[in-house]
Amino acid sequence: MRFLSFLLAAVVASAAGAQTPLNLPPASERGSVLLRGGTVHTVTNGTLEDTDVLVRDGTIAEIGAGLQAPRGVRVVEMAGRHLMPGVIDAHSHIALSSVNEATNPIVAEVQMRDALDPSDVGIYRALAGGVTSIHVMHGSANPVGGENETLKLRWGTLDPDGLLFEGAPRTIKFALGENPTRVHGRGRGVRPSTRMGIEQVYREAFTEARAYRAAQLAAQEGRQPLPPYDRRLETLADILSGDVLVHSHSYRADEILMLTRVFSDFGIERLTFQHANEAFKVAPELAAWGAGASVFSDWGSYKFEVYYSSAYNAAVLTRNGVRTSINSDDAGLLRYLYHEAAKTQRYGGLTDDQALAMVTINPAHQLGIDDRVGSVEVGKDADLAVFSAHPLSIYARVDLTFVDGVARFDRERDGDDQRVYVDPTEEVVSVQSRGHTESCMLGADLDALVYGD
Amino acid sequence: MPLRACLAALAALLLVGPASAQGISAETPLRPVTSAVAITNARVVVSPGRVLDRATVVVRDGRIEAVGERVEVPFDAQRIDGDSLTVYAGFVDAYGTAGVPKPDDPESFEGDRGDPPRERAGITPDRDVRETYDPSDGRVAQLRSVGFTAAHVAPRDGLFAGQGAVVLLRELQRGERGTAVVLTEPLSLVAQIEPARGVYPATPMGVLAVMRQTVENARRRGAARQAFDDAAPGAARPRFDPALDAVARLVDGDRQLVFVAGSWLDGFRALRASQEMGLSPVLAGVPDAAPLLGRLRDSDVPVFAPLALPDTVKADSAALALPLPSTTPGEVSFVSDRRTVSYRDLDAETAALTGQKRAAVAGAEASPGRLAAAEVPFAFGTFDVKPGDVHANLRRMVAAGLAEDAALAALTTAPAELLGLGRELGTVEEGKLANLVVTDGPLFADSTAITRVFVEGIGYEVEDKTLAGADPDAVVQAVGTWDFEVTTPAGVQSGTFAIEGTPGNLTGSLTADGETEPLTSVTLAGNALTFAFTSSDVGAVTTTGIITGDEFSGTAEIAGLGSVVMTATRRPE
Amino acid sequence: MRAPARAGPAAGEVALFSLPMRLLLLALAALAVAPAHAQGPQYRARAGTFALTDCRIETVTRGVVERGVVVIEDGKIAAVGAAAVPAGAVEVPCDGGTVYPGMIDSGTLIGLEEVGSQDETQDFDELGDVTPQMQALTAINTSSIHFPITRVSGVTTALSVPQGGMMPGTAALLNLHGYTPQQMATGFEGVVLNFPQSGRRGRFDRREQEAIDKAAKEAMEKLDEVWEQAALYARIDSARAAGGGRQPTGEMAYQPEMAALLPVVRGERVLLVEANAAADILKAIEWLDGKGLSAVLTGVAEGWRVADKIAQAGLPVVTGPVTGLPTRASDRYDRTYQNAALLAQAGVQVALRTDDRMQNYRNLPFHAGFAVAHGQDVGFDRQAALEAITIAPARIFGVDDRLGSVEVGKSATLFIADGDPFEPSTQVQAVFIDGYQIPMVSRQIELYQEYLNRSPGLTARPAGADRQP
Repeated sequence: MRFLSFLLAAVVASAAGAQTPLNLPPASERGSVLLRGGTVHTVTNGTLEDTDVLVRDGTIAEIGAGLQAPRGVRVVEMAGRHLMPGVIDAHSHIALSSVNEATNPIVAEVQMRDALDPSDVGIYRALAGGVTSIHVMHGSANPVGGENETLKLRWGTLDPDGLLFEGAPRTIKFALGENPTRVHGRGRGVRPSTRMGIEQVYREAFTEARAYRAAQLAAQEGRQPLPPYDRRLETLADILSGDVLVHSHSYRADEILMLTRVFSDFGIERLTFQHANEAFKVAPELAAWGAGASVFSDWGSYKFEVYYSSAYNAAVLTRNGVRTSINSDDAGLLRYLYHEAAKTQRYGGLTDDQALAMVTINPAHQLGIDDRVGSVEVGKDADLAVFSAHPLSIYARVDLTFVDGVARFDRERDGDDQRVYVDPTEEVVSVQSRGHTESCMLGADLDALVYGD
Repeated sequence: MPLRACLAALAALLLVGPASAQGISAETPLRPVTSAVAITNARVVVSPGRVLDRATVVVRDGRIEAVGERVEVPFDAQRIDGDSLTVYAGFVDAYGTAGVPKPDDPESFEGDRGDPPRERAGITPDRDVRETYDPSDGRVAQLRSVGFTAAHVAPRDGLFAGQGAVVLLRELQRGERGTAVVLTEPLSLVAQIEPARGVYPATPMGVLAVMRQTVENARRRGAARQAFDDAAPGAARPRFDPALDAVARLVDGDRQLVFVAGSWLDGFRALRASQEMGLSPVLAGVPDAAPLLGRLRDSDVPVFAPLALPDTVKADSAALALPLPSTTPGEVSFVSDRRTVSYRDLDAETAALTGQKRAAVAGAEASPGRLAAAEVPFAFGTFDVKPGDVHANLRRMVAAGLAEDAALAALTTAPAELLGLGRELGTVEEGKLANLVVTDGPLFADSTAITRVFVEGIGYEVEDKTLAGADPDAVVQAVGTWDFEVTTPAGVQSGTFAIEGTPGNLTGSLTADGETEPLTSVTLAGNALTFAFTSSDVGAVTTTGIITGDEFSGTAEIAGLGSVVMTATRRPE
Repeated sequence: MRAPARAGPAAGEVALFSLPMRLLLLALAALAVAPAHAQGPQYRARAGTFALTDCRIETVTRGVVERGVVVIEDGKIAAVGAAAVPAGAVEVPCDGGTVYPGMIDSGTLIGLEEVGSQDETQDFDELGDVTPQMQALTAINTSSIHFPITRVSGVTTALSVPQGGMMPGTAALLNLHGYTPQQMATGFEGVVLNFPQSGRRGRFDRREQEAIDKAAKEAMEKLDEVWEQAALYARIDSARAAGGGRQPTGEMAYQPEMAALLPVVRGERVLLVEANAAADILKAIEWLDGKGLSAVLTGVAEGWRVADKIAQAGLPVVTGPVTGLPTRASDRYDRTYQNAALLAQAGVQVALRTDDRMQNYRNLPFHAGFAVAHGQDVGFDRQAALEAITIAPARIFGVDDRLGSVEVGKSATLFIADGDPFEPSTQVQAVFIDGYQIPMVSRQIELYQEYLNRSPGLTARPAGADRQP
């Protein structure tokens, strides 16, 4: 009788070994590998044909011809294949447990570092698209959304700290325009409800932060007890002192100019505009001010403030001397940023190196990690992607992705179900994701938090 | 790193009889005839690893008066023949919420969501669990019946939920008030990454930001108060802030930080946040601590491990035949042999997914064993476990590698030590509180039942397991043909069983997969129906459940394997 | 497939006019100097007789002509290959570029949505769960900026699909040029059925399993009930027509929903059945079985799991977006890229759609390219992908006598590209829709031209104009 026979199997099962996350190399691993005889897109020093790249202990040690692999070091034959720096996404929302602390217009004190989820399979999928670093950002519900985090995709670690890009500068998310005015002004009657209001929210906050910092310093110098600690103002004061780079969600030309004026008045120097769909309209001003732009390749029309967008944005910005990157803001798009970069050739005819820079050295510069990653140069971190064909070709596939010289994606060894952690209570569900949700606004619906959705 | 216990109040709590003459109602218990009990000739497990094969335990006035092989039974003691019994120390629940009222769901908030009152934000470190603890809560009796005699209970909600204390899991005696069962002063302060709903802080990252700021300000508060008391010129007036005062006791070391984390991921966050705040936590929760082992060991953090486990996953033979990847640590182990190429491989896919889930459940089962192997001090907490699952879960944990002595320690000596109550609780030794568990066999054996539990000398007989919803006085009919469904992760199996005869003389048969087996031991007690049958595949199956009208709801227990949910509906005549 | 050595300025050099850019400007210049328009870019499409010369021609259905001419007359393709340039024809030199049939996006919101998240500009979701009488053609906003943005990429034709409830309306296949919806209409219309979902709608669907099952059961019951009514309506209608004296005379009862379903019940109009989860696809196949409908499965995200069943049922499939995320966390990273290929491998006829809520229908050739990059291992080559966005949808929608390939007698709906249109670096040189030469302008291109060298550029500000109080 076969009744409940499936239960019988469970008895036999108890001794079976199973994959655990512990099998993958730890985050601290630094790998060595010889990539022999490929086309190397250095991005900063042109394209080298039939060239070897030797990686030693996580660092690019040599680039040249006829390099020998030290004993025991893996050799990857690159004939017909292309090597480029690992793709860097300046705007991601994967690997996070929460995105928006949407309860207050300014929440400078919250940190993405506290919300990292290293078990998000989105990390692996990004690696499968050649991505090695991402900038995980707060959403755009608030004029000041909180501190972001720059990550290395060391898939396999379950310790969130294992993902941190050591030494990367602190960055913070700002947001202008429709989202903050909708959430706060129109949503709950708290300023700002206009772009005028957003400017004044910043001016007031920075003025308070300046006073706060002065009071703290005065107490310190006067050996007085320190006044109460306010992480919000503390962080804003760190922006004023140049310790935190600002990445501001923005769309319209006017609001972009507004923020540059506010920053000039408060002496803040490092600023990258995110999305910045209308940045091309004020490209000369951005170039003169020294701000960067991190844009979509071709998104527009998903809301009114992006109705006057153009896929030629990146090309106009580049030709006007604005350092520009192309980002994903989307778990799906993140997997083919190399293709998004290639679209700058259709929309504006950028060169190969200009296009590749959009997803490598330019975002690295905007994140302050360009001394470590973003190009294939001796001494830089071995964060590299191996492509089956020219990475700007539609027919290219990623074969291997190295982070610190460790192959964290290997197409040859890829299979189904790459999750490093499986929730034992989770059912197998097929998730229908039709269309796009603005991941920037996850968690911004506060009523849903109270009443469920 | 034991918790600081505050036992000053203990003496006052000893049984000294009712404080004053009180009204007597129908529910008022009778006065006890004696406070002395002797369990004679029992096997006594004094502490994990220390066993007296044939000894007597004497209890008086809530304390253990004597333990030994040559102990005389006092003339005034109630005598319990322990020939076939084993006596263990009463279990100490390292972390639980039995008797702690559940908070109401928050109402919609009309004010500024960015600046809610601190209670709404979950900042209630000044809340004292003793003020709301209710010893008559049903869960207290349920936990007691599975062996728990004392518990570290704590407020439930909020990012700084409040302060926990240890209570004795017994009923109030004549003339006692609720506070009589409180054993200690508050000794812990509970933190958890629990966002406030719809108001600041509404996210985990907001919670951690608030925690850091609150702790830093509690630190600064002392200096500010000192400066004001010293009348330093210009010193700011300290504001009334009971929350900061409570957190200051944490900073000063008067309270132990107990950081509750529901997952290994929150565990990492809790450990890092604690480190940044300069506090040494106990990590509470975390069903699968494997990812955290290194961190826990390096930072000397003990763990209150949950007794709840995820449900077992049933696997078919395909899932078991699946080749699993290398498990050599440090080896790159992408799963290359799980390719689902097309629709032809869907069975393999299902098998692989089942295997993954099995591994995840196995991880939770193995977690306490791994803590022990890594020499991370840990004690079991009940958290939200179903009391009826406790012993089955313990057996699963032991089967997954936890030594029985280590399991017993985590129920007795370890929580007592970690809570700073090693002198009062945790072993069967003279002078300790008379908290005992009496069983009819070895604690972790399948067939063993707990027969009695003593809490502070008060004995409770444990009735046979009864089904939830069972009503011995109900009158229902079992006769008829029933369509049943057995639900497992591997799918739903259905069939029929038929019951005939008269009450007291019932028989029947069960049909599934085209085969029919006779039912044995068909009994109907009140509304509870029980029957057994033998499957050629899995052997003996015992089914118990409750009949309500034409619906049957219960479980089918397969010997040595566990149980699955079984429901049935009676066919209309 | 991409030339390994590529001409282009060296790194860091500002390339004001790279090769593709020069080609674009050349194309624009060619339009600008056309006789009828002395100044500025051409804004209006032109009809006439055209000769596309010095062309490589990918006919899709009849192989590749390495060098030849395409003649367009009266809106139709008059000659393909070695033909003479007719007298009076406007010559459009391909300059070695390749002629392709216009690409067809088999699932869009084009014309029904202008700006996402602005309800006032969204006309694809009418109130009501069963509204098959809602016709996309009614609400097509021919002035939408998305028509020019899409068509200059070579995507000349798109299915515009109402969304929302179980039967949100009747979709229409449009050519992306015209001043009235009727001018755009290709003749194909299909009724949309969003087949009831039996599973969770997404990660954020936190309903209890019982609630999900109950909702799915109720939805199926509702569908069956509606269909029963529709069948009854059709039977009465037939009886009435055939009835003679024994039947009551007069009009059918006013029942617009059933009237809209009438041709579907009779198999005269296509039913577009949206189903994505494997279980739902199987359920849909089962539901369709024996009803004698002309059905197309759309979405079919998990089609690869049940490809054999789809092939057995003989149902054509419209799938996409190709670049979407896999449906399950446990799926291989490239599962969605491969879906079309795996379906085709099992013998299913496949067309692609972008279904892009960003209205980036112009990315259709890139979706096709991804399907090749990740599907060629299982036999889905460039030709298969090209067919999936040209002749395959034309056949599925029954318009292959007019669209989908470069053949004599078909509508002159085609484009010229300077390379493989799947490659991002390729530029589309010219587009013809129904014989009209389409101006190569869109708002995005206009903004580019206006702002690339903005004037005034960076200027000194008037004193005090920018000061803060």
